[in-house]
Amino acid sequence: MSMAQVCCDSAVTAAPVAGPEAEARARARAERRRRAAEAGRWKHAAAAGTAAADATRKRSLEAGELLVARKHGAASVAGRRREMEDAVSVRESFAAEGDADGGGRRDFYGVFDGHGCSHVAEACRDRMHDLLAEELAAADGSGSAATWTAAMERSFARMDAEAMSAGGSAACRCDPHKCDHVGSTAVVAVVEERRVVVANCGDSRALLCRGGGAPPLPLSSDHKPDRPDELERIEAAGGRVIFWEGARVLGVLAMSRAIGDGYLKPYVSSVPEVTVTDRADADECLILASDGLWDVVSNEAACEVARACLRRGRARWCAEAAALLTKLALARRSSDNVSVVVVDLRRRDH
Amino acid sequence: MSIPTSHIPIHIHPPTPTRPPTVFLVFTFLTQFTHPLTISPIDHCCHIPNPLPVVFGVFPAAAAAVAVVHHTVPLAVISMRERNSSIDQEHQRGSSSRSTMPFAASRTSQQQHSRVATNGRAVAVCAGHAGVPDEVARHHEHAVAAGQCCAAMVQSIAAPVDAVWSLVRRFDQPQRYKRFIRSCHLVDGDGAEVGSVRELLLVSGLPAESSRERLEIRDDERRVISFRVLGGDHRLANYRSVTTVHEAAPSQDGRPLTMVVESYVVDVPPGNTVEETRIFVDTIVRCNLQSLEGTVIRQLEIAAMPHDDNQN
Repeated sequence: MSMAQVCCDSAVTAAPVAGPEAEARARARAERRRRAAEAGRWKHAAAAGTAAADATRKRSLEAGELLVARKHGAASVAGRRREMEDAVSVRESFAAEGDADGGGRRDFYGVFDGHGCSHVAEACRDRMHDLLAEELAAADGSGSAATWTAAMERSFARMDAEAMSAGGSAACRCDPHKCDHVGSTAVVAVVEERRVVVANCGDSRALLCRGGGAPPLPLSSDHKPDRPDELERIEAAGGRVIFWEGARVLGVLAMSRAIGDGYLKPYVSSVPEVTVTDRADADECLILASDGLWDVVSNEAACEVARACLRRGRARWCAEAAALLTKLALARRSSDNVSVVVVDLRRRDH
Repeated sequence: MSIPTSHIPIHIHPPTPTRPPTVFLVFTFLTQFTHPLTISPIDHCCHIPNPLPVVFGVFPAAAAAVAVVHHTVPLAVISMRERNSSIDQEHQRGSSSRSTMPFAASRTSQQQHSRVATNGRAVAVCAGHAGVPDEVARHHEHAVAAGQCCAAMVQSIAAPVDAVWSLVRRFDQPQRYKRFIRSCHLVDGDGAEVGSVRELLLVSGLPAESSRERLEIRDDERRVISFRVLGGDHRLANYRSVTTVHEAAPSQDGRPLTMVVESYVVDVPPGNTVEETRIFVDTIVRCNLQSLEGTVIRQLEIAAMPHDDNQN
């Protein structure tokens, strides 16, 4: 993909030197601007610097942006929907290092697909990692699956409470008393040295690609209202799932769990489903994406695209894969915003 | 008194649907009846369990409609064209005269809503909640044809009636209190005169994108506003809504109390039941009425603050 190629090439450019090299860089910049103009939707996030800079820099994506870094890449585009309501959060070393169980540093990745307005998804992007860091700091040091589940559930509950009490952002100016109908999905992944922890609420998805011919491993399960256990939970609470252009809670909302959406509580819950997965030597990458991708691209196809980018051997293959997946979703006429994060899970010595 | 549920299917012929019905795989399951939603203490609509199987598909569910009629007045089934005629609507309302359908004296229960009769005959009316002044109660008497459903919802607001009406009456700015609206543009008229038409664009996440609506009634003296949905990207064909605002008897402490009644009638979309349609519409209407209460209360709180430079 030419876009990612240009980004990756620029990322490995040496330090500035006067003379022919400077001239070459100027031409490359002009070429990038031309391609960006052609693409129309893409803007360049700053290319990643050194590994040390990577470790501390916080990044977020906005509509039409491409995030390029050594260990991960993210792409996000409004697509055919009128407004951009997705948000993506990438926070390296967001929390204190885990203990012996998890080992080493922790990186946070999140995809949030908003509906009704964008400000709940934006609040998740801005706050979810902080809330989780606080909960992890307060948790017992065991790092067990139960501890992770509890920390994630508390973070999501606090995020839900914040989303429902705050008003809109400066951009949308929603009155806090009129925001009951706004919400967002949230799929969050924490990558440790030895494990990947995923928490999901809504119909975005996290997927693990393993090499050696293994099938893709879903790390989350979509919360659709007609999923049998979700249907049972909703009806036990006194709600109804009605088929109204798809299965919807009370005929209104097409997902059974979300951050926000106060008017549909308790039927639409903000309790996440949490998985803790040990990393393996064969792991290639982790893909987080909104349903704008998954509605039109299967798990297998997404892994094939990522694997193809990996095989090309470029240093910034994750960004390349994220951008290509986004373009694939648009080509297949996804009718929604599309946001994709790809994380390199290969061992450090690769 | 209830009419036994019939197995005769009701044939619905929505006029020029905005979107051709989607073909689903046909499957059958038993509808689990649940009690009225716990979040709707003010919903006084009657409800009958329907244990019969419901078939999802292009065609409307057979025998899904139930009928509870307190007063049945046979009406000729009006044609689609006539049903959209405001003149005929006036005539229909006139036919439900006080002598035929006395209101307050005849009612002992709060369940005052009729449904579509399963034998295909149109039933007379769906009346608003008891306590609505007689002079405006007639606006909540909807002529309900076969294949339609109707309901009314009530919201009491601890605020002066004029404060509430000043928000409800704005046909041109429904987003000042209603949710789910991204923008509203007048496409005909000035928003104050009957016949004005607005185009609403709706927020994401809903099974609808836009709605085109015509102002049918706006009576500032009696505080009645009504609109009819002409089209748009949604499944609510022939939707008509009436909202009335009136003073309730003051509470013990003498503070003002306002009652808002919103009633509607709408076609049941192909593939859905009367109950499902009511659940969907009631969720939206209830959300808007609760938003109205919150908006009015907040406006009054702001107005009561001394020297508040951040008003509105």
